[in-house]
Amino acid sequence: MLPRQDITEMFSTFVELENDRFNRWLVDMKLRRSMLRSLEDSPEVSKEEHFWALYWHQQWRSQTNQLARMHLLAYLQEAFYQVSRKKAVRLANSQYDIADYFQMANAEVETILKDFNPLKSCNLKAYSMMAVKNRLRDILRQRKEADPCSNWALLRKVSKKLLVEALGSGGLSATQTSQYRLAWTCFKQLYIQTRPGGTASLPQPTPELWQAIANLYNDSRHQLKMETPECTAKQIEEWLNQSVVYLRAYLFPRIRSLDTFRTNSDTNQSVDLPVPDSNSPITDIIAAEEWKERQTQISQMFGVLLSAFQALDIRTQEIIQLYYQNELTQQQIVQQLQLSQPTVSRKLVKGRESLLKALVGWSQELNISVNPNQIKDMSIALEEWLKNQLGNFDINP
Amino acid sequence: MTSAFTDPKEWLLEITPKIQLQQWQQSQIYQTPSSRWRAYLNQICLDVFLDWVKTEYALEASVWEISPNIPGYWEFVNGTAILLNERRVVLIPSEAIDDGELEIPQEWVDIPSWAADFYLAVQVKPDGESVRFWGYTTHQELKNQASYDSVDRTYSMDARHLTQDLSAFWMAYQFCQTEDIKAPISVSPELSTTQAENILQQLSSSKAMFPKLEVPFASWRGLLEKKQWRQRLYQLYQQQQQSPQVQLSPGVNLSNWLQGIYEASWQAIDTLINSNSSNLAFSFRSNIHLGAVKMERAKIIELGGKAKSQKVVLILKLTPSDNQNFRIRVQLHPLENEHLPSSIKLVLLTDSEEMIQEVQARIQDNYVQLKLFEVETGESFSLKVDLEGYEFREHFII
Repeated sequence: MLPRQDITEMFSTFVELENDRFNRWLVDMKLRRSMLRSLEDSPEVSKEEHFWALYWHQQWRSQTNQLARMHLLAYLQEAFYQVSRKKAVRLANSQYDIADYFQMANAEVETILKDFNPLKSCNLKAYSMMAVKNRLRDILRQRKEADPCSNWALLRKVSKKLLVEALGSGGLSATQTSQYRLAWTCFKQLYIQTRPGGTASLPQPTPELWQAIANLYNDSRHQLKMETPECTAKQIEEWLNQSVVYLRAYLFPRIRSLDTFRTNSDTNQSVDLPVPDSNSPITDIIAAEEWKERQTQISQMFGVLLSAFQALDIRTQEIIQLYYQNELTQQQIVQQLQLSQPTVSRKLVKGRESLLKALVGWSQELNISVNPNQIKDMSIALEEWLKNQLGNFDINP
Repeated sequence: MTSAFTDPKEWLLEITPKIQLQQWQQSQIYQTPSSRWRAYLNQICLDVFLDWVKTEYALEASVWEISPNIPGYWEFVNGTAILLNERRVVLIPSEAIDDGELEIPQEWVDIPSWAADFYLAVQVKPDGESVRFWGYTTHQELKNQASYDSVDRTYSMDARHLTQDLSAFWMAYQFCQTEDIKAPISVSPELSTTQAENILQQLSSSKAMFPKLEVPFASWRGLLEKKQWRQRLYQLYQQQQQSPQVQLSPGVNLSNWLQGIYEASWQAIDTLINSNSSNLAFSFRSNIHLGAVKMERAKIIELGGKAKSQKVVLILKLTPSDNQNFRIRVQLHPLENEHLPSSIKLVLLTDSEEMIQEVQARIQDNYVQLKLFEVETGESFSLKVDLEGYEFREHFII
C-alpha cells in the first residue's frame, strides 16, 4: 500500500481491495470537490493533516456538513487497513481475512468518531488505530463465544442492550420490542440450568416450560400495565426463535460490499452543498488554544511514560514490548520466553499498572488532584502510547 | 486458560472446579432455580475477587450482609457488596458475552445503606471456568450517565461510558476523593412499623414473579434500608417459594386472635383431634389442659428434607397476663406418628434473628415445648422448626 501524501487525496479517496490485498485508491468525486473547495476557502490554513482531521471531526460533531463523516472515513483508510492486515497476519488460521477485518473496522467508524475527544487524544489517526484494534478484538471474542451457543444458550448470554438493538435492527416497532423483551426476561427467569458447566449446550425447552413462561409473561404484563394482549406459549416460543434470528444477524452481519459504507457516493450530478456559514476553518476549531495546551500535556505524559517504562525490570519491559509493539499474543510470548502463562499475564497487568501509576504521580506532583475522569483520560493516553508510540523509541539501543 | 483476546486492562481470574462445586453447593440454600443461579454466579465472583485483592494488593476485604448458610439479598437482587477498607465496591456479575452495558439494580444506587463507591462489571463464564473483570464506574458517573429503566428498576450504563481498565479502578480506589466518587443520595423518612407491615402484606399477597414491582420503589427502599425489615423480606421470599400454592401472610397477627379472628391455617385443636389420629388426641389430652384458655390454635406443618411428607403440629397458646402482656406457650407434636422425628428443633427468634431459646427432640420424644415466655403488645417474634436442612418459619405480631 502506498500511503497517500496529498492532503486532498487523504480526505477523498478509499481503499479498493483485490484478492484480499490493497489494489488502488479510488477517488470519490464529490468528496474531492468538497475538499478542494474547503482548501480554497481557507488559503491561510495549513495543509497539515491533523488540522483537517480535527476540522472535519468538528464539522461532523456539530452536524454542519453532511460530508464530514465520509471525509473522515476516507482519512482513516490507512489506519484501518494497517490494523486489518496485522490482525490477519497475527491470527493467520482464523476464518477471517483482511477484507473481513477491514469491513469490520469501517463499520466501526461511527463509534470511533463519537468516542474520540480531540482534547484527550494525541490525534485522530492514533486514537482510531488503538480503538479499532480494541473493537476488532472485542468483536472476535464475542463471536467466538456466541458461535458454539445453542439458540437457547445464546438468549441467556446477551445483554438487554444487545437484545433491544438487535430487535430494533430487525425492524420491530417499539411496542413489539417491549413484548419480545418481556418474553425474553421471563424466559431468562425460568430457563435455568440446574448444574454448573455446559451452559453452551442447554437443552430444548419443554412444552411445560413454554407454558410456564407464557403464564409468567401474562402475569407480568398485567403488573407492568402493558396494553398489548395476552400471549400463548406458542407465541412466546415464536418470539424467542425470532429473537435468536435477529441476534445472530446482528452479531454476525453478512459481508457486504464495501460500497455500502459509501452511501454518499457521487452518482451523477452532485448537489453542491452550501459551504457551512461559519468563518474560515481556523476559527472553527474553537478550542484551538486548549487543544495546543493539551498536546503539550500529552507530550509531557509520553515523556513520563517513557522514563517509567525504562524503570521497569527488563523482563517486564520485554514482555510489554512483545505484546504491544510486536503484537504477539500472550501464548506466543509464553512460548518465546519460556515463561508460565500466569507470569506473563501478571507481569503485563502489573507493568501496565505501574505505568498508569507514574502518570497519576506526575499529575499529583503538578498539584492536580486526580478524579476518576482524569484517571480515565490517563488510561486512554497510556493505551495510545503503548499501542502507537512505544515502538517509536529506541528503548534498548 | 487465557485466550488470544486477553487484555492486560482486564483481570481474567480462574475458577477452579473445586470452587465451582463448593459455590454451587453453597447456593442451594436459595429458593428458586433463578435465585440459586444468581447466588452461584455472585459467589464465584466474590470468591475470586477476595482472593485476588488479597494476593495482589494484600487487602483484607469483607463481605456485606452475606453469610454462608443463610439466604440473603441474592434472593431478589443481583450484585455483591464488599468493603475494602473504608470504600465500598459492588460486583455486578453477568453472563452476557457482548460487553454492551453494565446493568445495576436500583437498590445498589439509590438506597443510602446499599450504595457503593465503585461498581465493577464482571463477566462470568461458567463454561470457560473464568471470571473477567472488564470495567468499572463510580456512583457519581452512574448517576450522571446511566439511563434508568423503569420496567425492571435498573440503571444501565453503556459500555462506552465505563472505564474499561481495572488498573484505573485501582488508581481511583487509592487516590480519588470521596466527593469525586459518590453523588449525594436523598434520605427518605424511615418506615413506621405499620407502614412496613402493610408493605410486607402487599408483597406477600403478590403472585407475580417480580414481587418488588408490586410496590413503589420508595416503599421497597424503606424495607431494604433497615436490617429488621430486610430480614423479614428474606423470610417472606423463603416461605413464598416453599409452598407457592398457599397464600402466606407476612406474619400472624395475634391481636386478631383475641377478637376471635384466625388465619385459615391455624385451626382449632378440636378440629385436629377429630379428624386425625388417636395418637394426637392422646398426646394433647395428656399434655395440654384443654379448655383452660380459649386462644389456642394449631398448625399442621408438612416436613421436607429427610423426613419428607411427615407431618407435625405446631401449637400456640396465648394467655393474657396483665395489662399489655401475654404469656405464650409453644409446643410441637407429631401428627400421625407416635414420636417426633429425632433432632427436630423448635426455635424462638427475635425480629433481628437473634435466638432466644431452642429445644431439640430426642429419640422417642412425643412432643417438645419451649419455656413459657412473655410478650408485650407491639412486639413481634418468629418461630422456626428446623430439621436437617428443612426449615419452616412463621412470624408473629401482637
